[in-house]
Amino acid sequence: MQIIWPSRLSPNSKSAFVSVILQNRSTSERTDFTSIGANWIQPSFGFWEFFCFERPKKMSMLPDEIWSRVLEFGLEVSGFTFRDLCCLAISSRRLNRLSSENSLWSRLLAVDFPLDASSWTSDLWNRSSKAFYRTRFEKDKERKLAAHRRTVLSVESDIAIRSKNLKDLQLQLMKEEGKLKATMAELANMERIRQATTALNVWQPQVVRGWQEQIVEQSAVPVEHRIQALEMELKVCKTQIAVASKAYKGQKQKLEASKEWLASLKYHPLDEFKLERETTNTRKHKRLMKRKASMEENPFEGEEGDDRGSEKNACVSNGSCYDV
Amino acid sequence: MSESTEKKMVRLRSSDGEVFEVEESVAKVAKTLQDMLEEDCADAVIPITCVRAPILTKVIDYCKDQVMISSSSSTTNNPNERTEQERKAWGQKFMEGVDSSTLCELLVASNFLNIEGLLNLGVDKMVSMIQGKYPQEIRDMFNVVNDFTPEEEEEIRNQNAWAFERDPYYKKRSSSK
Repeated sequence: MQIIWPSRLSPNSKSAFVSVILQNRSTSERTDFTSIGANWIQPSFGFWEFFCFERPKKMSMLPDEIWSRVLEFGLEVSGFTFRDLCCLAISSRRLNRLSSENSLWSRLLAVDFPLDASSWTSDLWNRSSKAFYRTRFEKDKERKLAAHRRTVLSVESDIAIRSKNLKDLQLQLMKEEGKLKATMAELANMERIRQATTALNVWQPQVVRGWQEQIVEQSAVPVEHRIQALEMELKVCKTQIAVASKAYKGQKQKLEASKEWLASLKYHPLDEFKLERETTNTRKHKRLMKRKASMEENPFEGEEGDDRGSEKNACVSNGSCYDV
Repeated sequence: MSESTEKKMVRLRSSDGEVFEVEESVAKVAKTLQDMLEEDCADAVIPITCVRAPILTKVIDYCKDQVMISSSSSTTNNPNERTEQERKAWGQKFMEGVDSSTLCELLVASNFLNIEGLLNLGVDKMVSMIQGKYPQEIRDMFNVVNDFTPEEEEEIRNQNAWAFERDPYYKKRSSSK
């Protein structure tokens, strides 16, 4: 008698489906007893029970071949990551064994670190791919971390330079404005002198005339020239200020941009979460302290006492929650 | 196949004794059954001893659909022919609402009966169930028994800790750039 296993199944896969075929060696005539087998052998020998192990109610009873197929399929089509594989490894012994298969990890290696393909194929066979992936992963992480740090530093230095520039520009602006004011004052003075000169040509009382003559004599340079020069200077000052303030604006914009960039570089969702948690925690703590202080002032109010107790409880449970 | 009177029927018996009568073409979707039918035992009841009736019903549903597809695609220019996308959607719908134990039985059944397509569907479903889950979730979902001793678990956790360390170079996805 010969038992024919369906093509896909190996005898150790605990299959329940066998066909029993009797082959007459001399005539090579084959008779199929599959159907009979069920009725005929079962009651006496428990034949089928032998081949069909109990119905797999649990996922854990799936044969290894299906599990490996799931893992392979997951890697190839749905994008399982190293994290999924590690989660599976932690679940149970069997899954640990299955998910640590070299073939899976070498495939993951080829996908995640394709540049190194030549370097790892040589020594792949004498050690575990998972361990190799791990070292490779950590190296990569280190590298990325260093790169990240570098960019953060460069952006920070950028910000420092820009803010220094800004300060310089501000100083320059202030200087120019001072100059402008001085020029304006002088210009006004000159105007007065000019007026005095023109007034000299007309008749005036002696006192006024003497005073005006004095003013005119004081200015060594001809008034008209002086006024022209001052007006020129005023113009220069104004353009200087315009240029500086434009530069200032530009610098400021750039500074804002790089500050934003830095913030986005430094941003990490976990930090945010932690920060939030801490602030709520301290807020709660503060409130508690306040309550306590007010309690000490008038300790005989029972109502508040109860309140405090409940809050304290809440705080304690909160604390234990964070400990975990 | 062309004439309904000549359609050969095959009888399948599930593990709980229910007998299903299906067309031969439907049964032949399962490679194992095809092999058996070619060995010529068509008039007998074929026992499928590890598959329960509800699971077998689902398997037969799948086979029937496959037969429909292949018969419609053999006649060319059929408007009923499905595109890849439709097939995907159909597969998703077929697997919708299948819980983990049913899925498991379906997987085992399709493995036994050697139905590649159904096996792939089941595997795909299982992959999507596993993806992104934590170990405890995986255990709960698939009734996987945690057979590590506490020390072993500690060790295995340490061994795999590298995968779960915080990503230090998290990059916020900015909408502007």
